[in-house]
Amino acid sequence: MAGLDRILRIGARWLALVGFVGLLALAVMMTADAILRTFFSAPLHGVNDVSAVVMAVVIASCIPANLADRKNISVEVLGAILGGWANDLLRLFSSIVIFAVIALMAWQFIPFVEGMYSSGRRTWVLAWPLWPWWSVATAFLYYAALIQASNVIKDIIAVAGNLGARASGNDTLTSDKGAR
Amino acid sequence: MDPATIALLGLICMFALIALHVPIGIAMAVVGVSGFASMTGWGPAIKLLASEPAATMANLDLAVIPLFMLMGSLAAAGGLAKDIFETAEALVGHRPGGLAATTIVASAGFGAVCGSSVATTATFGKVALPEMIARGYAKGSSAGAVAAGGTLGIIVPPSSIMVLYGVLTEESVLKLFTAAILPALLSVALYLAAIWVAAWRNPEAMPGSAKLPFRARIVAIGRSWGAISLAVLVLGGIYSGVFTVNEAAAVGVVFAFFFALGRGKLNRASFLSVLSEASVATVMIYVIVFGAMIFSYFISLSGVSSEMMGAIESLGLPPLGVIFVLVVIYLFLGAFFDEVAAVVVTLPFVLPIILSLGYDPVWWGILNVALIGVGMLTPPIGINVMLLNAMRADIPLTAIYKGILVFFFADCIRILILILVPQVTLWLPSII
Repeated sequence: MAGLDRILRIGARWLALVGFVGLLALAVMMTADAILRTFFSAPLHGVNDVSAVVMAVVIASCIPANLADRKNISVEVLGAILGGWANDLLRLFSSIVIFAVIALMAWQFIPFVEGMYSSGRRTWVLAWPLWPWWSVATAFLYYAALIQASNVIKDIIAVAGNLGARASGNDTLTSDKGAR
Repeated sequence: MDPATIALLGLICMFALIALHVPIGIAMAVVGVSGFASMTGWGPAIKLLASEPAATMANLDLAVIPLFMLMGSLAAAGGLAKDIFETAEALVGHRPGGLAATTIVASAGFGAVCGSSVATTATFGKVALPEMIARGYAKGSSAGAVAAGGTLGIIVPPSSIMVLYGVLTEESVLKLFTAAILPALLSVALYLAAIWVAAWRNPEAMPGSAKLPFRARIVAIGRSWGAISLAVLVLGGIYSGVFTVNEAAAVGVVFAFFFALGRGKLNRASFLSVLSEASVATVMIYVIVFGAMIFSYFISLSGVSSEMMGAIESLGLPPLGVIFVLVVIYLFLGAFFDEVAAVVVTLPFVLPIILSLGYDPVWWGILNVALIGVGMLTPPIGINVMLLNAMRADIPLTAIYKGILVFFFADCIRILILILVPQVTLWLPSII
């Protein structure tokens, strides 16, 4: 289980890196287009088409790593005030909500992509079909849901472990009291 | 239940979820879908979870955000922050409070190649803070200068938060960047004035450095050719109309990449670290925008904005009075939320109010960004202050807040000027 979790997380990080290498390549293409257009009046055709489809894949490729590293913007004041165990519970609650949203999102992307496929939507200039790109983005969202499921399991284990420790701590306290 | 009550309940639920550690973007999405479902049914509501994120991911205007993030990370990896700091030191380091002034000028310069407040604070927390402390500056004053300088990262164009504001309000990003020039210069001038006042009142806390000979100053300026070229390329390209904002960001990425590579600062490990840093920061923003788009649907459908406008009108406050109430609210929010969250969470409510009062959305956008910057310095949870405290646990929070006080006064003057003299913001866009 731990091994699978490790593989999933390493895979997520590499996916994000590959996605951003794609972004770098897109930046090179946009630069070439801007230079060719400005100085030689010979722009590259369809750069916006490529940008629109590549960006969707780039962003989707980074979501699993973002979830694996738990790097979303949140306000964690309450947990800091309440302390360890409450903080773990809040973390579990947050993980479950994130999982529900990501899983629903991934699930809803299937009909969305099916709609693109059946309507035969294409990019404006290059006339590339859109559905293959969005299928890849959807697959990445399912991967993100898998990563988040793993986060939920980890958080359940942490809360259960804490509960066990508290229970054994209480036992000790009870026996201590008994000893006094 | 009437839609306005549903919206109010939704708002309460959203803040409750945020308080329970749910990420802000996810909380907005949950409330947005649930609220929308309560008015239209679950079928159309659940579809928002695909249509809005897909529209956001394919939005070419937003594509500039990952590009700027990548450019900022590459610029930092290429050592541009250190170059800018050394140049700024050569120019203003000899004046009273010289290194603090250096930090402010360098932060503004780095803001022109970065566009994020937290990233600017973190960068100068590493570059400038140890230098100031080593040269006998009071720790609180040093940290205060770094935290305040960090806020310039979002007011100096190009700024990611301005791109986001432009996309969400359908305003021209170029117009916002142009409008931000004078307020950014005003911010730097007021911060420098604040430093000179602080150094005059307590010279021991901010000792001056020796003035460099003219030749050495020119050499120092020459050393930061990379940063100057990058800023000129990006901002010059945008303002001259040679590049679109997206193209300028792409050109900036390519330049920063080859600059870092040419300097030998980009090995496999640092390259992967740059990509990872930029991808994490990008998705953090995108997730919040996904949520904001869904939440906006719900708020628009509820019609709560018009009810809020009615309620504000019934208070009988003059438009300026409403603006001052919003200022107080933003200072409070900025102390809890990061820059993106504070703008995105409030925009569906606040923008209709601003428009109904007859104010220019560009003016409000710049004022909004300035306010969020101030909120990032104010207690209880100024994000920039917390970041520095996390980086340097030996500097107590109270000392940092004390060091910030003088900058806070400068910020109050700046906000007053921006409100009372809208031309500071709107003059440049009107002539370009």
